[in-house]
Amino acid sequence: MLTIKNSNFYDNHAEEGGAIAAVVTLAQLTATGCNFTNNTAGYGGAIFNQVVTTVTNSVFADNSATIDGGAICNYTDLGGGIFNSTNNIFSGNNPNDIGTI
Amino acid sequence: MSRFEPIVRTWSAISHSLPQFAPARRPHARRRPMLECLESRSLLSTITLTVNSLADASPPKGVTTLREAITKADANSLNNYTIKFSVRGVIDLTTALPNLTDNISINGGGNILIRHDANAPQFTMLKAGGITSISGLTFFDGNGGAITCT
Repeated sequence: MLTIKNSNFYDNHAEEGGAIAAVVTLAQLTATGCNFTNNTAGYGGAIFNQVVTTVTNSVFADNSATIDGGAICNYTDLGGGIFNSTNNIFSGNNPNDIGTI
Repeated sequence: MSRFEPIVRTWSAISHSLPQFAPARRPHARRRPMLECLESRSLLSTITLTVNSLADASPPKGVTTLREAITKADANSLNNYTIKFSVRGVIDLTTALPNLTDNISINGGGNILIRHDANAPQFTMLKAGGITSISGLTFFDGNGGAITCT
């Protein structure tokens, strides 16, 4: 279980999850008070999620994906990809805020 | 001879050939109180490591870098480690940091920016597994992602 608090992710890039890739072997990802800005990826500009991810009081701004999930991409094929969002701000993410594959 | 007698004789013959499932009664043993050794147990203690240098690739001697602190924390999973910083600024990475394995907490206090060196090849800056936590850090310009949770 990874817990991230009060941290920033700017201008990161990856094929999956420009800032964070939460892959299926992890039980849980929790992020609170974080800022994800201008991250890019093929899937999930900021977060690629295969697990149970809970994000609270965070900002997703201007993140982009070339395929799906401008801010977050949920990969649900293996029983994961559960994204719990509470009190977050989504702005300017392209092509969408949350995508599901 | 009654009409049930053949059945009774047959059942008696069968029951004598069956194994006896009831355990033999042993005389009640008198138990004496004894002392037994228990396995050793120890509580996790929390050890704080302080990073006092922003250097990474070629740190001067006598300092503790973030890379060294994580390596030290990884080496002993029996304790909790908290990594904090007495410096503030930018840590430029030319290779990935060691994986966070378990029971490690990194607290940057809002003063540490971890940046993927622009001339370095692609890598994920930090991989984290087990029970780990990160706070007060900024991940910037990652080429290959900032964090992968494994």
